[in-house]
Amino acid sequence: MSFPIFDMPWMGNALLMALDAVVHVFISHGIAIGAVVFIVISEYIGLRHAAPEWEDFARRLSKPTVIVVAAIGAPTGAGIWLIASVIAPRAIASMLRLFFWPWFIEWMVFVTEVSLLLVYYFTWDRWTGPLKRRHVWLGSAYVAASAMTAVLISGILGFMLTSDGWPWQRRFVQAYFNPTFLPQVVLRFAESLLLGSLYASCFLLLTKQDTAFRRRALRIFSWVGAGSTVVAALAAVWYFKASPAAFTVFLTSTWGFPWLAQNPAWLWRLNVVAVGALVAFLLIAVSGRWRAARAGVVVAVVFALALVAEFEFIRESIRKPYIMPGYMYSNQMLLSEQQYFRQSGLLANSYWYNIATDKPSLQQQGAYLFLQNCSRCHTIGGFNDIRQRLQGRSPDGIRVILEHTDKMVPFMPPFSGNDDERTILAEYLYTITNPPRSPTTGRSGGAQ
Amino acid sequence: MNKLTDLLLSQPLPDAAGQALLFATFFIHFILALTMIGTAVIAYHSLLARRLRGTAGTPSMAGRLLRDFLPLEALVVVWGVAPLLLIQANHTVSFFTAAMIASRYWVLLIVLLVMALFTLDLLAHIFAHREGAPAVGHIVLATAGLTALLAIPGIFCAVLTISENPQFWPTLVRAHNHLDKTLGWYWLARYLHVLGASLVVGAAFHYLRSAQDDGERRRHMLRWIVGGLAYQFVVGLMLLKSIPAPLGGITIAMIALGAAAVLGTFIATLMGVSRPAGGPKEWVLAGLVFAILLPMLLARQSIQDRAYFAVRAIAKRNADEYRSLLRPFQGPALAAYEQKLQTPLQSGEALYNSSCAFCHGTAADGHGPSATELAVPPESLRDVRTTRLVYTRLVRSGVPNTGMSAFSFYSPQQLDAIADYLYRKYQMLGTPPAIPVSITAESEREAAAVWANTCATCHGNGHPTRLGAAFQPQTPDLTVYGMTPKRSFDVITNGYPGTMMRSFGKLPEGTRWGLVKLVSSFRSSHP
Repeated sequence: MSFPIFDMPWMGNALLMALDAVVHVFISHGIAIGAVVFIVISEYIGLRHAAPEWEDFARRLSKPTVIVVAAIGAPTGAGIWLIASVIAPRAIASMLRLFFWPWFIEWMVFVTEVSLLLVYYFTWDRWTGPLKRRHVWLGSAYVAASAMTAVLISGILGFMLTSDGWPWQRRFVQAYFNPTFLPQVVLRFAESLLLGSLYASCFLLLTKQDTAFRRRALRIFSWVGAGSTVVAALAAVWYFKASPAAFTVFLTSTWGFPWLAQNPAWLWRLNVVAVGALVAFLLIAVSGRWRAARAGVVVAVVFALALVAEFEFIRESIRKPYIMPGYMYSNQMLLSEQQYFRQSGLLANSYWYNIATDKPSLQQQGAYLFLQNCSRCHTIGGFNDIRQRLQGRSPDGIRVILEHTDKMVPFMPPFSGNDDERTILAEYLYTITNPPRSPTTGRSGGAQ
Repeated sequence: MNKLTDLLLSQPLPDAAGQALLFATFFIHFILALTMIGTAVIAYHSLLARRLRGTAGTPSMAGRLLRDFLPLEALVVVWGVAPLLLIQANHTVSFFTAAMIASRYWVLLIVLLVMALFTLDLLAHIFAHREGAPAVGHIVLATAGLTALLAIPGIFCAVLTISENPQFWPTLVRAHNHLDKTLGWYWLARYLHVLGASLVVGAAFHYLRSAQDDGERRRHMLRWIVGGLAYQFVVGLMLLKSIPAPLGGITIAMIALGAAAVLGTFIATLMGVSRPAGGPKEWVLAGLVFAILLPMLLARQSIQDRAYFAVRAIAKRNADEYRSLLRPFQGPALAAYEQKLQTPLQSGEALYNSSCAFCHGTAADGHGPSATELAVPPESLRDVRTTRLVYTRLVRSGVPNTGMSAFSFYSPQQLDAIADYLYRKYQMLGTPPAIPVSITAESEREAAAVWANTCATCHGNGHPTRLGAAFQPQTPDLTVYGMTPKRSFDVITNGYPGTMMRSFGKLPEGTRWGLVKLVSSFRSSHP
């Protein structure tokens, strides 16, 4: 393969990415876009109605907002890319070519966005009086730029599930303006407004405020939140309708938790609870009952975040076994390459592996075959543990399973390597699943 | 660096534009990063000094310096994205190979970034309103934040150092990605040089920005610059000596230009320190710093380019070769993909044919294409007569010590759909049909005796005994898991390969049919 390989032990590569990405989405959507919308709205109302309490609220909310965006939101966003660079260098480098211009334009918007946010934040005290209108405009320009970044990234994320006609014709337009692009844009906007309204309500309800102002502001915020919830729900349905059935059929199977696959009803039940709690909160808030809303606001935020995380998790899970559908599997093998490796072997074609190891033992060969074939999703002893998946299988059974991974488990990529390598990997997997028992203690060795 | 795939061949930008953009965006990012790091170091020093000397009462310099930290950090991050994007696109092999070699440190970047930025922003917030000396907690917080911050350029230096020295890649990979002595010194000198530069640039920035109307503070910044430049001169010599590749003429000329600017800056700032009237004019100092950084970074760029373009030429040759190698496989691969995309596995039959048939056979007779590779042959499902409960349990948890997997990743609905399909087509759920031969009473008696003496050891009275249940694969519970008479007869006659069930072909045929009847009755009495 083209590059040396990285493996995150125990946690696994997928979970590492998921954790960083989810934190980033919470902040980029909820705060960088959502919360600032409500800051600008509040500032505007303050200006329009000469209401200092609105202005004061907006200004006080802006400080934590800017700090979290700059210190956590931006670095975790870059972090998605930093992590992708080592867990999937081939995929990220390929997509970088395919989507160079969207990414480059996104960067330009990103620079504009951050600069606008800084100017907006630091001119709060200086652009007052007649300049206040300009300040509100600046905030609106920032919101437009930050919304633009969400639009730009949606085409690329959509491609990872619905690459449309690209694998055949290789046209950029097909890849970028793919079937899940638009529903995702709408969903991300609605999510941002919903999270923003909840964050703003949190600040409104949990800090010291004038009661009349609190009631009025809460009403306005939660009306926007309620509208966004409806739009988000419709966009989610649209998104799943636009996704190919070949992927959505395994919605609850691909998460890496057999328990969930076996009890899919729980996913829907939890969703009903989360959406129900959210709607209940929004109804209470819309009616202006701020004391009751204060009691429930944190729960509402947690459920909303859980729903957002769930969508990202599903989006990233159902695209399996591909990372670039029609071109590259999620273990970074090209579709064509996998067929080539079936004949000519993976080890012989692994440049860095052959440089790193002299006369590798069968164990080393097996470990490398595992790294290349399986380790993007499975760990040994950690998240999505391969030993649990193969518990109880015979070596010959594992060998047969390896030949048919993509048939048996339709969201797994096929094995890349020739028949001898399949045997080596099967032996390796059997050994790590059933560690040899130590003759002195009678206990198994590797599992401890 | 061989086996580069076809997409990685295309250059999104012409080289001249790509390189110019890379240099320009990196230049901006680098100056901002140096300013940010310098700000943090100088602010930390002043916090420490206030704590140790207890100069309470004077306005907090740390608070003033850290006020600029938030905008700086935001700009450093955004301006860092472009060079990363461009270097990955222009020099894929050099960059990613190096990042992979340094990957165990590379993944720490994200944690370090968040920790450093958040901690220092928090301190900035605290010291924006605080005039007193810092508490121990503040020093601890600042130390943690600064340590994380200072580690970040170390990691980037490592990646760049590795990426620019492809001749060392094989040695590095063989040494489990640890730097050897040559590269280690080079990395250290580079890293220390970046830190020194951050002191100079950070101090110059605050000389211009936050110390304007404070003569003492301006002299303080000038002292940092003078000290920083002296340090840079020494570390610079060390860096020059540690560069593993020979330097080109242009590189040497650039370094000489930069060194001349260093000398000029050194003299100008030294004069400023000694004269109480104040240091150099703002634009003079800014121009001097710029005159140092521009040639120095151009020299760095020229060293980098020589290595990167050489690697790219080789990579391109390899990639062209690999592309033609893969070409014949592209058509079949795409056809398979299209087929997969267009046949969602929604019916029990589709699921069976995808997930089960390769062992159990499309006709469910146990003769799938992979059946012969298994020590315990797959069951002929068309002959099985069981219950839905037993089927589900078996499919969900697999059969120990065989190839029969735990299909727990399928939903209950999907597992049911497969069962329904097998029931509709082969009556898999139910009791065995009537026995096709007539059995004499004597055969039945003989069969009963054989059962009691032999079979019952494991099979008990249909329910397996403790001994039978301990086998892997375990003895089936014949009251809930039966077979067609023909298949039962076959198993009794030939045994079940790979299991404890041995062949009883030596028994008279009538006795064997008698056993079939007995076995069928266990299942039939538990419909």
